[in-house]
Amino acid sequence: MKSPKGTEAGANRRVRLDIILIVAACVAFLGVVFIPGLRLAKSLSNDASALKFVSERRSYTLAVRNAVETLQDRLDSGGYVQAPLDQLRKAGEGLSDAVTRMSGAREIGVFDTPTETTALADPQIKASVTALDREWSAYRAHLAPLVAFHGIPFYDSESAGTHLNPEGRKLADATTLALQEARQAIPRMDADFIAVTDALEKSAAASTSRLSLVMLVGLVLAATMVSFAIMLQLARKKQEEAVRDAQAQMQRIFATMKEGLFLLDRDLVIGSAYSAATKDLFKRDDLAGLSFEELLKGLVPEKTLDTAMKFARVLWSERTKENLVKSINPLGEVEVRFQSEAGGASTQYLEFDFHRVRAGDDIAYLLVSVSDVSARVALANELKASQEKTQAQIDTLLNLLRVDPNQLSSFLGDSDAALQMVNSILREPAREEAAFRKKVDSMFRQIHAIKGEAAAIGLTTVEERAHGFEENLRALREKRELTGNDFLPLIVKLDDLFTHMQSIRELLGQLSRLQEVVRNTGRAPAAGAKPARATKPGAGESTIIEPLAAGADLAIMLKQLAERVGLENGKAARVEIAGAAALPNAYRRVVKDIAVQAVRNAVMHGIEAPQARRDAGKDPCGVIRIEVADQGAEGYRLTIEDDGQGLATEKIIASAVQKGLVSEAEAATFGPKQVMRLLFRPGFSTYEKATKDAGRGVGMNLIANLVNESGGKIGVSTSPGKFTRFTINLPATSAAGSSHEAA
Amino acid sequence: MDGRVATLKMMIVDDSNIIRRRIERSQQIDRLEVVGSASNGVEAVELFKRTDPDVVTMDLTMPEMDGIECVERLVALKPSVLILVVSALADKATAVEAIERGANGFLCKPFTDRQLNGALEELLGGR
Repeated sequence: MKSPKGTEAGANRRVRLDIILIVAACVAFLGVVFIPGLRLAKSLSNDASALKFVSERRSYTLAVRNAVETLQDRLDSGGYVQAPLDQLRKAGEGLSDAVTRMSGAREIGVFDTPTETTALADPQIKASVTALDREWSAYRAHLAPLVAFHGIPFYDSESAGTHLNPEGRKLADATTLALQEARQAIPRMDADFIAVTDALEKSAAASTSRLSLVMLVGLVLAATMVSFAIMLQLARKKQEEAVRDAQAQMQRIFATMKEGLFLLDRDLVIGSAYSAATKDLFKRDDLAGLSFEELLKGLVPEKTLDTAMKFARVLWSERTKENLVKSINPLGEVEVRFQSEAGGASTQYLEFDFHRVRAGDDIAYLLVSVSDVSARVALANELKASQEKTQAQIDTLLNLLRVDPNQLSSFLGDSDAALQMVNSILREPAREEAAFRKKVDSMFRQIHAIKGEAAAIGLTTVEERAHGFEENLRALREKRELTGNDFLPLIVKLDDLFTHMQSIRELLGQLSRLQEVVRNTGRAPAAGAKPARATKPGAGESTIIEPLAAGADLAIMLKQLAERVGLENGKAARVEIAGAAALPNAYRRVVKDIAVQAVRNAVMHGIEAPQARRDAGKDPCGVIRIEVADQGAEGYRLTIEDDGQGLATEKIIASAVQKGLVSEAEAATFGPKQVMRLLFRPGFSTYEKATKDAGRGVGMNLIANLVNESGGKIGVSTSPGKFTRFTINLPATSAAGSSHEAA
Repeated sequence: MDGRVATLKMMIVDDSNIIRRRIERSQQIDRLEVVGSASNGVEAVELFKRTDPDVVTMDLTMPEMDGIECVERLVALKPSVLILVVSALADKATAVEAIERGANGFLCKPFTDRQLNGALEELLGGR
C-alpha cells in the first residue's frame, strides 16, 4: 500500500536536502583543504629543492677563495699551478652557473613543471639573488686573468733556480689583486647566499605551518562529513526500519484479518497487496492483476455482475457522492455460488464494501472489503421463518377464535375423516394408469372439499395447505403418464396437513383449558363474601360450545363464504337459506359440500359486479337462494339459485372446445341440454384466472360427483341476465349415506 | 430581502403529489429554496429550463419520460446540477444506471425527514 502523500513529499524534501549538504561539503573541502593544500605542498617542495640547490652551490665561494689562495702559495713557492687553476675554473663555472640559474628563476603557472630554482622567484629572495649576481659579476672580472692563464709561469735554470717569468709575474699580480678583492667580495656573496637560504627556510616553515593548519581544517571537515554520513546512515536505517516495521505490521494485519481487503485501480484490476482472507473467500490464489470482473464471473448472476461493474465504475466519477450510493451497492449482500472441482456447489453470502482512496485530490484506488455474512443471513432467515411461524400460529389462533365452535368441531371431524380417506387412497395398491388416475381424482375431491370448508369458516392456514395439495394433484392430472413414484411428494403434503390439523386441535385444547381457568377464577370471588363484580352465571359457556338449531351452522357458514368470496372478487352477495332444518343427518355433509361449491361458483361466475348489476337495473347485492324441501318418499330437493347473469351457451361451448373436452364440430350438434352437461365434465371452468376459489374447473364436476355418489340427480336451468338454478334431487335417507361415506 | 436569502434553487420531480409535498415540507436546509415541482420527465425538463435549479430530487418511475432519461437531459442542460434520486429500491440495476447517467446520489423510499435532510446535506457537500 502507498503511504499518504504528505510523508512522501516530506521524504523527497529530505533527500534533496541531503544531496545539497553533501555537495556543499565537497565544495568546501575542495576550496578550503584540497586546493590550498596542493598549492602549499607545491610551494613547500619548491622551497626544499631550491634550498637544496642553493646549499649545494654555496660552497663554490669558498672553493674560489681557496683556489686563489692556493694559486698564490704555489706562485710564491714555485709550485705547480695547474691544479689550483683548474680548481678555480671549475668553482668559477659552478658559481656562474648557479648564479645564472638563480637569477633566471621565474614565477610559473599552476600547470607548469617547477624547476629547482622556482622558489627563488619570490620577490624578497630575488633582491638577494640580484645582489649576488651583481657581486659575482664584479668579482669574476678579477678572476678573468687567472682563468685565462695557460702555460707555465716559471723559468727553470740551474743557476738561479726557479723564477717567475713575465707571464708568471702578471699572474702573480692578478692573483694578489683577486685575493685582496676576495676579502671583500666573498663574505658579501656568502651573506647573500645566507640571506637566500634564510628566506627559503622561512618560506618553507611558513608553508609547513600553513599546511598543517589546512590539514587540521581538512581533518575537522572530514570528521564532520564522516559524522554527518554516519548520522545520515543511521537516519536512513531508522527510516528503513520504520518502513520495514510498518510493512511487517501490514503483513500481519493482512494475514490475520478476517475480511477480504484489496485495491482496485482505475481499470478495476486488483492490486498486488491483499489480505490473506481474500484468497480464502474467493478460493483462488491468482488475485494480483486479476480484473474485478474475472473475480466475480460465474460467482454471481450475469445481471448482478453487470450492475456491480457499473457501480464500481461510477465510484470513480467525482459526480457520484460516495455516501449517497451505498444503499444501491449491488454487492451489499450477495449470494455467491462456488463450483467445486468434485462437481458440487456451495453457496455463501458475501458483503462487499467500496471506499475511495484518494492521493491528494484525485481518486487513486477503490478499497474493497469483503466479508462472509452467511451466518448473519442464515440467522436473519431463521428469525424470519420463526417470526412467520409465530405469526401463522397467531393467525390460526385468531381465526379459531372467530370461528363458530360448532362449525369448527364439525369441520375438524369431517376433515379428519377426509384426510384418513386420502391416506387410505394413497395406500391403495395400483398398477395401471387408469387406477392411478382414479386415485388422483378421488383424492382431489376430498382435498377440494376440505379447502372449500376451510375457506368457508375462514381457516386460511388450512385453506392454503389444501390449496398446495390440490396444486400437486392438478399437476398429476395433467401429466401424460403416471407412476407410483409420482405420489411420493403427496405423502409429505398429507403429513403436513395432518400435523397442522393436529396443532389446531392442540390449540383448541389449550383454549378450552384456558376457558376452564377463566371460568374457575371468575367463580372464585362469587363464592366469597364480597363479589368484585356482577358475573352472569354461566356467561362463559356460550363462547365455546352452544348448541345451534339444526341447519343454522350451515346458514352461517354459507353466508360467511359468500361474503368473503364476494369481498375478494369485488362483488356483493347474500345467502338466503330455507328448510335446512328438514335435512336428515345423513345428508348434512353432502348438502354442505354441494352448497359450498355452489355458493362459491355462484359468486365467482354468476353474480355480476355491483356496477354491472346497477346498469342492468338490479340490486347491487346479489342473492343466492338455497332451499331444502322434504318430499317424503321422493326424498329431498335441494334448489340453489342465484340472480346473476345466467349461463351463456356459446361461452360454455367455446370453453369446452378450448379445453379439448369436445370438438367444434361435435359441439355444433349439441342441444341446450347437452351443452349444460358440459358444465359437469371434469376439467371444465369458464373462469380465466386460477384462484383459490375458482378456475380449477372442478367445482361443478365435484357437485355432480357428490350427487351421483348419493344416488341423486342434478338439473340446471338458466335465463341469460336473470338467474341460474341448480335443482338436485336426493333419494330418501334409507337409500343414501353409505355410498357417500365410502367415496 | 433579508440577509438569509436561499442561495440554491431546488426542483422536486415525482409523479406522486403526496411525495412532492412531503419533500417540500420536510426539507429544512436553509440554503435551499424550492422553485417548483414536476410530476413527469417532460414537465421537469420544461420547468428546469424556466427556473434553472441547482438541486433536483428525482423519482425514477414516472409517466411520459422516466427519471433515468430525465437525469440525462438535465445534466446535458446544466452539468453542474446536483441530482438526488428519490425512489423505491425495487431494482438496483436501474438505480445504478441513474447514477451512471449523471445523478449524484440515491435516497430510498420510504424515508424519514432526517434521512432526507441528511442526504440533501451530503449532496450539497462543499457547496
